[in-house]
Amino acid sequence: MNFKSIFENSKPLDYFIFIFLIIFSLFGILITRQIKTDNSNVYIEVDGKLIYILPINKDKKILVKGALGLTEIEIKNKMVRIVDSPCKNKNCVKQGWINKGTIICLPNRVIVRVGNDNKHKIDGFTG
Amino acid sequence: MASQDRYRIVLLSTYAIGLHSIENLLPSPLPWLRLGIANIISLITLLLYGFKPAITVTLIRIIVSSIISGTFLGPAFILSFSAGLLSTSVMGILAQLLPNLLSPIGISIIGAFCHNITQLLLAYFIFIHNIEVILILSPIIILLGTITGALNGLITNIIFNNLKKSLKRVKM
Amino acid sequence: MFKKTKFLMDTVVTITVISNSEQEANIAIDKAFLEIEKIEKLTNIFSKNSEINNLNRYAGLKRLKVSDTLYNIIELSLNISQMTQGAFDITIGSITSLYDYYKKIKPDEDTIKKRLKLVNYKDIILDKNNKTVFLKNKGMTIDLGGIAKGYAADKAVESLKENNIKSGLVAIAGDIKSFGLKPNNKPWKIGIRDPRSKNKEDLLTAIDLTDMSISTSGNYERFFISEGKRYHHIISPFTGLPASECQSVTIIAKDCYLTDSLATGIFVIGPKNGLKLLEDMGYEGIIIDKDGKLFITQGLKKKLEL
Repeated sequence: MNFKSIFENSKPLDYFIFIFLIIFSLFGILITRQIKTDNSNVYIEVDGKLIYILPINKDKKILVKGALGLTEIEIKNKMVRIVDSPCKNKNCVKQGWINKGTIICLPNRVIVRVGNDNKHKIDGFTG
Repeated sequence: MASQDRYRIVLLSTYAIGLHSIENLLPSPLPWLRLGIANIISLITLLLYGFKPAITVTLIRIIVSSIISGTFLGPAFILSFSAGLLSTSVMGILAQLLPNLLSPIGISIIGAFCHNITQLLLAYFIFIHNIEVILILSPIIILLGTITGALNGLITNIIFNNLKKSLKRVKM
Repeated sequence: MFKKTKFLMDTVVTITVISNSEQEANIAIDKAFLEIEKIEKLTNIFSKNSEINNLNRYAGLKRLKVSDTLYNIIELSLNISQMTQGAFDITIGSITSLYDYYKKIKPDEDTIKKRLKLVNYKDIILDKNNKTVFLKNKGMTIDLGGIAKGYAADKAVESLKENNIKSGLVAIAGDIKSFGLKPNNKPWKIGIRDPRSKNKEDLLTAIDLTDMSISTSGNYERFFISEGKRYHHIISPFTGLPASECQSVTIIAKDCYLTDSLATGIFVIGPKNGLKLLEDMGYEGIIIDKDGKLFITQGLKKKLEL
């Protein structure tokens, strides 16, 4: 068995189609990733009440008033973070940028949640 | 069909079933991620003996394998059967019409692509009516299909090139 | 489906109910929150005048008559102490008060040794007829942190039922109790987070919780790291140090006070013996040991095909 003949008889169209399909599918993967994060919203709750629902794909800075004062929230590049908050330990600020999940500022009673409307359909979380 | 043809078909089908079974024994991270090495047999049959034998060998392989695994007439079978039928037909047309533009490598890649597209479309219409899931899976499946199609194509090419040389010496 | 969230008991409390009437739902939810607030008041060790602090002040001095609720919670705690042979012990308070997770303070060996003498649930003397509690030794401190949330969830569900709600979910952080079914007979679904994953959204699994409770104790909820060691909030009543055999323990059983306290107790006991205790008592659970290995009860394994 002559293994050197592996590429023998190959035609340019072979390579073209191969590369085309690879690029095509990689592109498709990138697009579907976009769609997944595009759909998300940022839900901001203060004292248990939903105050804002903002799309995550629009950059924005916003201030919300909580129990201790103003919490500054920033949405940028499809991520959200708490810039500053009047709490002592600033744990919420330390959490940094998220594109899914929740940041809570307990002292100021602020919840910043990234919601994906299609998610698990789970009613509660433990652990 | 002449008895020699029947003999060939039985032999090739057996090889195909064998390859398929061996492949199934190998562990795979994802159940639907398969190398599809049995398709090498289908393509070789196509190149050497033409369309009808190729289709026959392919369908025999799919039917017998599904009977062995107990999934005959089940959803997986429907997907495999249709995809095998379509991809072999397309490969047959390509081999007939464009032998100068495409080598077995390219034909195998396109065959794999057709196989995957058929499965994705049928899966959507018959089983998973959730277009989101299909859209998210499609690019990954096509990517993997292209790579495995190319690999199978390369293997087919080696075999075919070697056969051509020995066939040149012994006129079959 | 109506949902409300409040900050109580130092965490996020969410109550979800199914009802045909928004008015009825809101009334029931508010009353359930009140129940939780009541329990918060009694059990809050950070509040000077809470009933529990009152009780702690009388340690070693005299017995104190307590409210039915506090008596009940202490009595249930003692049952769990017996079940776990002391791994769960509310008298751990004299040692837990020595740890400060914000300031990263931990007690030294000698102090722990001294305080360990004050940790013994058997030194809580109850008088059922007079509803009195006597803490035998001076310095004994009761900390109900390991059972209060679960107990509150039980009470909240009771309240919802009394207010005509047929299906609902009370979640006090990770202590969750559900009753009834959602529309279309769908069960309440609870996700169990995977503590081993860096991604806070990654789940170990999701389970259907019908008329049951679930709680998780983990070494990642409150902790600080000092000299390479993790000091978390689940302190062993035997050593006075954070229990180190497990990363997290999830318990599923009917009552939330039980899942809450047992999760803490089993965390201290450790994976192998903890699993055995669960199987023996007929409760379901998942234990993740310090190396990330999963220990799952038989019943749950079948349910989940994990």
